[in-house]
Formats: sequence, structure tokens, C-alpha cells
Amino acid sequence: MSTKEDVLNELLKRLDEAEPEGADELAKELLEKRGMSPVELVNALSKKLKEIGDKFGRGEIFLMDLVGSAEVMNSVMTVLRPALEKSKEKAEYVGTIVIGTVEGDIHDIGQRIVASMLQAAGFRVIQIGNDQPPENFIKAAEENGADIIGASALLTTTMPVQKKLIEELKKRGLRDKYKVIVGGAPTSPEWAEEIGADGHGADATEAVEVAKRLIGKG
Amino acid sequence: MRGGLKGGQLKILTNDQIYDIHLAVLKVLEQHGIKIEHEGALKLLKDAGADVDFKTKIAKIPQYLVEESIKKAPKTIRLYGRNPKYDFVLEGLRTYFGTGSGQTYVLDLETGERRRCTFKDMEELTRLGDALENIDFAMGSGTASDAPSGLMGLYEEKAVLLNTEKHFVMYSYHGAELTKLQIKIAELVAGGEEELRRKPIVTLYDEPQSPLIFGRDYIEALFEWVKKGLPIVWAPCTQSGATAPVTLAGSVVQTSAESLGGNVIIQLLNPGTPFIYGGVPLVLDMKYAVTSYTTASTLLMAVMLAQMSHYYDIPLWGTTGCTDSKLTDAQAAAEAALYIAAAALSGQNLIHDIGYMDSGLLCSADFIVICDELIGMIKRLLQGVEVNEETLAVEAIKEAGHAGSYLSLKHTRKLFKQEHYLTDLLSKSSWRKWISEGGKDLTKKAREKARKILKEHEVTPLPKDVVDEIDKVIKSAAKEVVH
Repeated sequence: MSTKEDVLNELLKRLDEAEPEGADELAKELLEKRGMSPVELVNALSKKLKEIGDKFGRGEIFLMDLVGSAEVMNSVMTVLRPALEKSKEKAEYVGTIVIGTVEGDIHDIGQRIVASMLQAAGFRVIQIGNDQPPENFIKAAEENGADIIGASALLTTTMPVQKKLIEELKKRGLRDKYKVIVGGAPTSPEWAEEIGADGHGADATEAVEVAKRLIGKG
Repeated sequence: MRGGLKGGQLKILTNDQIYDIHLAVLKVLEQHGIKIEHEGALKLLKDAGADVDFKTKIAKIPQYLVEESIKKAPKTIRLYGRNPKYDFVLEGLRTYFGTGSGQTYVLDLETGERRRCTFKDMEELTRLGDALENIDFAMGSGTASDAPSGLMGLYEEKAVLLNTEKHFVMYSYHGAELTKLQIKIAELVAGGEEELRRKPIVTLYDEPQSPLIFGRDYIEALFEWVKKGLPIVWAPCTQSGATAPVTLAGSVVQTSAESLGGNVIIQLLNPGTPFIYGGVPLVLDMKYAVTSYTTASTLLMAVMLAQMSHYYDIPLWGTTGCTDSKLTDAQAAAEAALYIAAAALSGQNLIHDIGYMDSGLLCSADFIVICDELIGMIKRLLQGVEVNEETLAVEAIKEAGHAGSYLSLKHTRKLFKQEHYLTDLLSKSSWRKWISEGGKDLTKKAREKARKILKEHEVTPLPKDVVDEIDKVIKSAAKEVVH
């Protein structure tokens, strides 16, 4: 007979090996048959993902291993999310961040990497995808009680949308409610300052460091 | 046992040109001959049918003798390390890399100062090569300038045999007496005469003097070594424009004639002795009157010699990983990269001189470390690409989807290491990470790696009684030298 710990270990192993096969079922089993609370489970998974992130930081595993693990986490979260919403307890996140690529820009990979690394650093990450207008960033932030909004632009022609996002926040009187980080190849700390953003990430590692620092956890 | 990756992708000579070079080699040996300052060798050649003039000491060697001796030379040679995991087989297009010997100066690893090389430097550089993944065999890096001059060969042998478990290509400091002692020490380490013959842990690197002279001491060394049936390199250092023709084809003809002329003696003395063909094709710089190791010409001659060795089907003594720079700088890395690529891609076999600097006068640990890094990258080139259903990746392309990502695919995780080689020292990180790690250039990182290896890497020591015996041999030789 397998115990709750056995099933949990099996699920953590899926995370470790970036193997999505059967991960959802294991999560369901833990919630429905093994009496594990959704918060307890999220915390265990986040802790594991953090370990995996640390391994990446030390150069022991590669980027695709980290991203693979984060994707397993995402697929488990689709099972966990409804249960979490019903639950009275709160999961222990470092913070919540909405992340996406701005309108007119369909570059996706950069913000995906940043999202994986933020997850591995203990953040709750709301990924809204690419080609997103400012209002969608703001809507997702409002709905999820986010601390930070991260907007990526990979083209010089779409960089102005990052500026529009900040203007839109100001217009709605929400500018002080969220920290805003901008990133993407053509952006720079100077650009971030010019448009009044709170931080800039030159690469994924720096984005995570800046995010932590902005919410006082760095 | 180490597997050598196959080169041979790079060719510059046509089959017709290869044959023309071979015919020219035969003409030089038969019509012009070689001056050999060794009575025994001249007699041997005379008895075999050569046209020998004992007064001028010139032996003109007929074509059939050259051809017969090429046939007698083994096509595949197994060389041994004192640890069997370092054994390897020289044959065909398989490539192996090793350090070089005889440099007078060293760049001090701590101070960067250029100073005379000592026995301790030889020990350290050998231990460094023992640790480096892409170094397959050792030579006595540098010179023991603190050893009595007549005993340098023995000190080199001790420095290397005590500090590596890899195969040792030993420079011949020549003469019958010294060579006998070198063999004695090698037999002590191998565990006896028969053991050394069956599993040679040492190859002798002996050489003719260009143009077309076989010196007495060098042939004496050859005689002692070949009588034992041990593997031997007989390869000249030619300087195009000075000791060899100014033309590249002519230099290769003379180099080949000198090397194959030696093989005639070797195969007459002891048929089937493992012979390694080739030369170190250099040029004399006409602007500065200094030898150049790494020019477009030396690279071309290296490729030509590789093609000749494949034609003869005899393993080649290759040269690479050299620079004419005086320090471990951008020139050093650029020249080494080009030379290593040329040597590997042309399919040279026993490729020496990794870490040679400043016209062969200088060595340094950091440059050897950089060459090791470059060899790693070039080995990936030699591996080539696999093309099959899995690597064509149609399924993976579909799985990732339009505007999708390959990062999280199993296909990526499974095949990443097979497809992509990651370097160790070359900077690949972001600017910010590079700065946070001290903003070091390649030389600085190579120096740190060398220091770390020298601090941590240990070589299995030889049994104490063997070391004592080696010291006894050196001590008794020292008495003779003094007298």
C-alpha cells in the first residue's frame, strides 16, 4: 500500500524529472483520496521547484530542465487552482506577478523563461501570453491581487506599449498599487527610468532579482 | 582505452598531387640520398641493396626498399598508459592530442614572469596535462634547466613518468648510452623488458637534421630503441626557406623523404617496429629571421602531411596548439584555434606540441588549458551530425506548435547533450553575470583553472621501490657524467 508520502514523492519526482505524464492524476489523488490540503500541496511543490531553480543557478541542470519542471507545475496547477480558490488558507508565495508580452509583439520565449524562473523562485506567476494590450495586464493584476506587472517587448516598435501601460495605470489611479518591471532585448535601465517603470531585467536571472527586490524580499 | 575521433574532412591535395609528391620523395631518396653519420646504418642499407658511399656517408636508397619498408610498418599501433584507461590506438583518421617538449622558458603561473623552465615546472605541467580531459598523451613540457645538461633526458623521463598515467612520448636527448638508461627507466615503470615491449608506455621521438642528415647520436638512439621493438617517431623539424625548400610542396617532399628514409633503417633493423611518420613543418620568417610555428603555410603543410600519411597508411606525427605569441593573448588563442582545427579536421593522429609558444621557446599552463578548451570544441566538430528520424525532429516541430516553445519538450531534454557541446571557460553568460563573477578574460580564467587543478589533482604514485630504482639509475649516470 502506498502512503500519502509515497504519492507526494512520486509527484515531486515528476517535477524533478520534468515528466508531465500522470502528474495531474497524482495531484488529484493527493487532494481527493489522501486528504492533503491544496495549500499544503502547493507549498510542497513550490519548495521542490525552488530546489530545482537553485540547481539551475549553480549550473547543475540546464534551462530546458528548469522550464520543463515549471511546465509540470503549471499543469498540476490547473487541477489545484479550483481547490485553492475554495480553500480558506493561503499558499505561501513570495509574491504574485502578472507577466506577458506587449501588444503588437508575438515574441513569447523570453517571458516564458522569466515566468519559469520566477516560479522557481517562489512567485505565483500569472502568464497572460503575448500580444497583450495594457488593459489586459491591468485586468489580470486586479483579478489576481498581483504585486508586480512584468511587460516584455522584443521590438523597438513595441517598446512604446510599455510606456502606454504605465500611462494607463496612472490614468486609472493604480500606478502606486503595482510595481512595474520591463524587459526584452531592446530595453535598458535607461528606458525603464525614462518611462517611469520601477525596474528592468536585462535577462531572466536579473528579472527575478529585481522582482524580489521590489517587493522587499531580495 | 580512449577512442580517438576521426578527422579527415579537410583535404587540399588531389590524389594526383599526392602521387606526384610520393614520386618526388622516391626520386630524392634514390637519386640524392641521405647523409648518415653512422657506420652501422650505412652497412645495413648497403647489405639491403642501397648505393652507399662510405666516404661521403651518403646512402642512395632504391625505390623498392622505401616501398617495402612502408609495407612493413604497422597500420595500427596501440599505445599504452600506465593506467589502461588511457590506452589508445593510432590508425587511419583517428586523432589524439598531447603536449610538446623542450621549451626553454615558462610563463610563471603566479607572477606571469618569463623565466627559465625547471624540473618542478615540468612536473607541474605534466600533472596539469594528466588532469585535462582532451589531452591524450604527455611529452616533457619544458626543459629541466636545473638538471645537469647530460642528464636532461633522464630528468625529463622521471618528471613525466611520475606525474602522468597517460602515454609518454619521450624526446630523444640522443646517444646510445643515454637511450639505454632511458629504456631501463621505462622498463622499471612497465615492470620489465617483456612488459614494456608488449605494452609500450613510452614512444621515442627521434629526429633527422634537415636537410637530409641523420646524425650519429640520433641514429644510435634509434638503434637502441628499435632493437627493443618499441614505437618510434622519426620526424624532422623543417624550416621552409632555410632547411627545406621555400615551396610548401617541396618542404613536404623533403620532410617525407627524411621520415621515410628513417623508416627504411627501422624496418631493416627490426621489421614490424611501430613507426610514426611525419614532421614538424615550420617556416623561417624572412622578416625577423625567427622560426614560425603558426602561419597559413604551416597549416597547409600540416594538412598535406596528413594526406600523405593516409596515402601511406602509416600513423602521422602531427603538430598543433602552437602560437608565436609571447604571452597568452588573443593572438595565442586565435593561432591555436586555427591550428587545432586544421590538425583535427585533416585527420592527423599523434598530434603533439599543445602549449608551444614563442617559436617553440616558451610554455605556459594557461595556454595549455585554453588549448584543451579549444580541442573540446573541435572534437564536437569531428563528431559531425546525426541525421535520422529523431534528429530531423518533424514530430518535435509539430509538438512545439506554431509560435510554441521547444524548451519544455522531452525531445529537447533528451537530445540536448548529444547535439550541443558546452565549453567550460569561454564566456557565454550575460554581461551582468560576467561582471558579477569578476569580469575576467579567458587568460585569467585559464590561469585560475590551472591553479585549481595543480592544487587538487593527484596522480597515482609509482611504487616507492620503483622511484628509488629510477633515482639510482640517475645517480649512477650522474657519476659518469661528472667523470
